[in-house]
Amino acid sequence: MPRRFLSDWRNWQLAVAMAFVVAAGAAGAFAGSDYFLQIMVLAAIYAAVGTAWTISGGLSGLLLLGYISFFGLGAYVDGLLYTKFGVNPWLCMPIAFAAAGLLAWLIALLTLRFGLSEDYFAMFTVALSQVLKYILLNWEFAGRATGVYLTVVKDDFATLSFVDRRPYLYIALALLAIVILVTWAVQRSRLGYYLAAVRENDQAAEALGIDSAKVKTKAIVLSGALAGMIGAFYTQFATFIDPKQVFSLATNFEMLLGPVLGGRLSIVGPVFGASFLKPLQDLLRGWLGGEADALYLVLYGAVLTVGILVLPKGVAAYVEAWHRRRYGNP
Amino acid sequence: MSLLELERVTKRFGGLTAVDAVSLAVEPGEILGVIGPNGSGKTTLFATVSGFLAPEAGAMRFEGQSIAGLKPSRISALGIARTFQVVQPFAGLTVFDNVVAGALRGGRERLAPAQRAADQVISRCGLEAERNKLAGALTIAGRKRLEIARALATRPKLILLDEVMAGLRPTEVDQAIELVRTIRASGVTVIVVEHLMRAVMALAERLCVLHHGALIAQGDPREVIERPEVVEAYFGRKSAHA
Repeated sequence: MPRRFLSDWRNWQLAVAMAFVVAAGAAGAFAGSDYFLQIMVLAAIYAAVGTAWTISGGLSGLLLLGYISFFGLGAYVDGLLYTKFGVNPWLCMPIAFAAAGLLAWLIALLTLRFGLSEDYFAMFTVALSQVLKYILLNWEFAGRATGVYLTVVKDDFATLSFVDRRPYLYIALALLAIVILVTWAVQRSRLGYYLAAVRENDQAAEALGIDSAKVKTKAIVLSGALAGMIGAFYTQFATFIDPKQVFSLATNFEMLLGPVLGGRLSIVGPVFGASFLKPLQDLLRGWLGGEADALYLVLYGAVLTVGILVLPKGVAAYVEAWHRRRYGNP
Repeated sequence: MSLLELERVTKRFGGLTAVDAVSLAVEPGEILGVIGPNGSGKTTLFATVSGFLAPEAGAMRFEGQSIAGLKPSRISALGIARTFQVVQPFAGLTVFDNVVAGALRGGRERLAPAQRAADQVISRCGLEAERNKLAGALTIAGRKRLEIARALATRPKLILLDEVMAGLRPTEVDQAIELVRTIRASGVTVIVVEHLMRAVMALAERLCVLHHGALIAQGDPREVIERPEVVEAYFGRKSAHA
């Protein structure tokens, strides 16, 4: 690849992340066990969600802590449309994208137009995810606490159901590739400049003609919509929805761990962060045992907080510094 | 028609009237100086004109259009740019990216032309050597220049410069004065708020004096600074025993 293209940090990340996605696909093709594939699919889903989060939680600088709302909503949109109305799962993904985007837009409207400050915004998003959980836990039509179960029609590409786990991995990686591309495109676009300006200094951005509320709204909507799309795929992969899981705060923080430690302003950060942390979390969970759910929450919360304080730009900052030296940018 | 017209503009903070019924007309192409002791309302007046503060009373018109109550981004889009007295760089971005953010003009410019325009502004403001540095790593003089460059990149009709010379060394002040002159020469109307009398007197064709938020004098700079009410505002009333 031309050196000139790679000398841009964003392009370099795109190339590396895409190479990683392809390599993961190849590794999956030769993977022997379903257990291993299962972990890979989940890692890809987490990487995609984590990367999508960086558009709002990273680039725009918003403390969007309660991000799982969009994922959970997408999961339910797919589950309900598929089981109750027979909507094709492939079609459910764009619908979930739109539904989660709409939720994100409403959140932006409520919080930004009324000038909710940063910490309250964070609390609002966390609270909202739990409100959604309790609504779905009590909604008859959505199966209450039982959730939604999908009947699997065996090996049918048209209805996104496979006995083999491999096709799920390929689709998950394709979704991850889409999220990576979108994030890269955002970073390189005018919106990327506005987001950087608003993140760095809201007032100065406004003085330059940048409508900060509008810019943040765009970031939340795009970020939320992508999570919704991934949530829809998750339902098809898992074949059931447990409301306590798809709106779980523990899962929420698990999903943010990769981008926060990896680097929330980067692309490689969330991709590699989630890809390594998710399997690690699964191992850790096995080791700590099933009774320790509250312990995870404490652990993730602590790691997340320390990560934000100690490594505000994540591990990716060091890679970026290396890249700068390697390609001779001052 | 005046470029900017203020009519009895008033801004209060609780019981304090920071800007008190200021009426002012700014003509296209001029350099207007605004001076006044600390706390006289200069920065508040700028913040009001640029939309960061909403006036309690009075009218503000830019090119005949009312701008009172508009958001800062809207006012910037109409062609009023401002710098901040306490510089507000995008510290984590490079100088180039800082200026590009301005050159995009809130979406009215595409990315490639904005990047070209940014490089032009950078060289105009003498920031070439700093182009790829992080804005947070600049010296105070560099930051003041960046503040001007970013505002200039929005291609304003009117630029409000808030103490861009404060804290500069004498040679840097000379360079800054020269820069402001070239800005005006390119057809941009300039309002300078400045404590440094040497700079104001070198630049301003007309001078306004604020005191306790009120406009107490305006006119020819050399004549205005001799007026008793202006001298009094700065130095107080002459004691009977002196």
